[in-house]
Amino acid sequence: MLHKNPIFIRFCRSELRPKKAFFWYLLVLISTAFAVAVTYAPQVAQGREAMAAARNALLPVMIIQGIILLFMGTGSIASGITREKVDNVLNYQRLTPLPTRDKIIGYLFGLPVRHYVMFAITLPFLAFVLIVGRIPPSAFVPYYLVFFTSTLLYHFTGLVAGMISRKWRWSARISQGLIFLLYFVLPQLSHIGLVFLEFLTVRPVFAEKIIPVIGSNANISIQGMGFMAGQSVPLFTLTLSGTLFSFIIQAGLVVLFAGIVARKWKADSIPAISKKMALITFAAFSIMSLANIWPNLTRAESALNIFQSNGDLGAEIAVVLLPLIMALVTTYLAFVLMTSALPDPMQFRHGRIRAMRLGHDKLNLWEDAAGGYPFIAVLLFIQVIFFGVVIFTLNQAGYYADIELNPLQGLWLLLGTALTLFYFQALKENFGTGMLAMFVLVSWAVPILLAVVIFAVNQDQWPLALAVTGFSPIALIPFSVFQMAPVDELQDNLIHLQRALGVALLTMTGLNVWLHLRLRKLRKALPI
Amino acid sequence: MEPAIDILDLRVDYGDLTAVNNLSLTIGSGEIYGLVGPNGAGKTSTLNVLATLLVPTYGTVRMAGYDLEEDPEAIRARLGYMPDLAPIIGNLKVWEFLDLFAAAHGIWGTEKAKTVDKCLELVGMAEKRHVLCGTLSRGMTQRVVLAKTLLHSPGILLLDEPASGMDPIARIELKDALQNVASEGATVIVSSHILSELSEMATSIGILHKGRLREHGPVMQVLSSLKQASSVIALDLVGDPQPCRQWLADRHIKVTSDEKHPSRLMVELAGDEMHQAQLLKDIVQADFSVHGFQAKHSSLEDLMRAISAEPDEEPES
Repeated sequence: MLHKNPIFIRFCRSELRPKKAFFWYLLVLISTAFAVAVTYAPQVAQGREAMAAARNALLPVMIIQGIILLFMGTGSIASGITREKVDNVLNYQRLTPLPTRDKIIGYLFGLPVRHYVMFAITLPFLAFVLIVGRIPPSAFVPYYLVFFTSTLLYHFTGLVAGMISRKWRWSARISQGLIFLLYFVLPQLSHIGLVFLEFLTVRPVFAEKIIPVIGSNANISIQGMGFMAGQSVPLFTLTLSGTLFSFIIQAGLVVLFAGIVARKWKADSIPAISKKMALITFAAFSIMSLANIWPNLTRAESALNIFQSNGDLGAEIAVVLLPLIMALVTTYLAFVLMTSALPDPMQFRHGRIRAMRLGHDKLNLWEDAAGGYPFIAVLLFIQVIFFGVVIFTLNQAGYYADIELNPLQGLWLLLGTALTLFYFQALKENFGTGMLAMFVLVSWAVPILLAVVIFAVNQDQWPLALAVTGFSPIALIPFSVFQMAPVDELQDNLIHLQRALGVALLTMTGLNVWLHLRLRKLRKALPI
Repeated sequence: MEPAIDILDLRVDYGDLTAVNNLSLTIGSGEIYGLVGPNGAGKTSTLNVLATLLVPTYGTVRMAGYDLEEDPEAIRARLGYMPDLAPIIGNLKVWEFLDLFAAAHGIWGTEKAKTVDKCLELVGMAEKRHVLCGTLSRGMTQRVVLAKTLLHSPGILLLDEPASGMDPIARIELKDALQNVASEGATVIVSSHILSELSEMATSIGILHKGRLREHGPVMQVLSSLKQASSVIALDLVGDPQPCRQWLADRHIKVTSDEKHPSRLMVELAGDEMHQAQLLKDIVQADFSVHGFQAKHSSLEDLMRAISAEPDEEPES
């Protein structure tokens, strides 16, 4: 019961004091009134039908509501929870016998309580627009249902950012980064087939339900914003409504974030996500990616927006592009999950000392402090199945037959992925998250930047630039995928690509040997 | 009867730094236990482990009959914790702050209002109940946080430097409040580096230094054992003290002069009263004329200084 939640009551008291909140209420009242009046009144004055004028006023109201709840509300949660942590108030709450669920709900709805009131101030204007504009419930009800699940998702994002960051400043940046990622970066991947990422936002339901009913003036501006047209979502051989799919995908993320927050409530020092939770997330993401891109793999249609105008992708592109997209997206998700789930050297050390004092020879395989070899093995196993299905389906669809290519070339991709995953695991477990960031900057970015400089200085030196790129660990997967390209297409370039792959393979093998030997030595020398 | 707190082989590591090293300690019900030590001794780490906020590297801790690792929730329900630099929610009024935590501890209705009032009165903050917490002075903040800690009548109280920032009257009130709570059966652990305040209120003390418990037991016993371990004797001689000084130095007894009293030597002696009597006898037999021999009372601060100056022990492997 929210009204009996002590944490929620606390925020109602502190955040809704008239002296503090009145300015914000007034700001929302004035700006919403202005937005509706400036859209509606001139059109009516010019003799336009009141219904059409009111419909045009819906968009500004929705934008104001989005700013209040999605952006300002999320920011207040992230910074508020970090302030509670830094000030040690969170520890007080940890010690109370209030159930973890109640604590999470209290903060989730309490921290942005003023923003909910600000949202409520916009409702009379919304009611006016809906009634005068005669907007059917079949349009706005699904929109607001998805809007509120999005709000919940974004607020959970803020809560996660606040719980995992140790500094107030960082939490604000992390949450802003996550929102930018969720709202602007990940949806762009819908253009390469991963349409489910578009459904993390309200944009698809807006395009599906609202655009058809709002005025033409607003329509032009929406098209200018490049919103995805309302469409159903491919899910293997099925198609789902965008609204339903939004619910499913957002609910999944809310469950994941709730799990992270609950873990961090129990103990601040443990990794943000358990190994098992990370594997389930990875498997779910892989299946969802596969389901979305299935029509392309089976040649049923081209759901890749960037190639949509060409119809069928064409075997030459498909055999490289589809595995490359899948490999890059899933491997980078694996990086994120590994960073969150694997122990840093100190966590491992403490876990090991603890286990030995309790009389155990080694740590439980799935314990938070345990090393990541079994975890990476399962991750790789999922990748193998995933790539296997992609290549098998491409083969079944006749892509390889068209270009006379042996699908076993896909083994290069598996090798590249395995080396990359084990490299990243060893990096994290050798040096921890702090040093990881430095390694990423130096060893990942520098070779690529150097290659860009070489190419910029003399474009004829592109084979050298390509080879230099091979020194960057993130280059191995793309170079492995290009081994699956038809030889005829690559012609003289093949030798250079193979050289670059050789450099990348040698670099990654060398790095893996060094890092894993170092890790072994580190763990053998562990003081008990 | 099971002790209120039973710690066995507790160790806390932060990276390569060992903050608490093999600490074993038993504290009975109704005791006020003073945890003394300089900054970095491991007091706060120990209290954080007992407060279930820090997972130790290893060690077994039982509190109020529950194992810390197996049943932290049961311990939390019986625990009151006041951290160092006690945080407070600045934009809540004093009564709202207490109301929040009373409700979080499951106290509702009229009982909640009564409990809040009672705790505010106990710490002398009833008049400030409608003041915003953010406007309180440091000492007042400490008192409000103490009131918050007492809300659910915890069986075990952990107070990390509770008196810092308090004025002398508030300190006396704190002492009275803690003795009151202890007399009702609660166990109190108070940490401080202001040693005199602990010696007045604690029934037992433990001296932590570099993560190790150097001495512990009832206050008088610890003081006495430390005095036995090392005491300073003011030796007043007739005439030039230098020959006696040399005689003592030849016997590897540490001796210094007293600038204010030219005929006085300050002798540092390891051992109890018997050793002191033997030394006096030897000095007289060596034909030195003694007209004063007085063992100086060491303050807790002196003893702490002596402990801090001791060389580190080899870390355990």
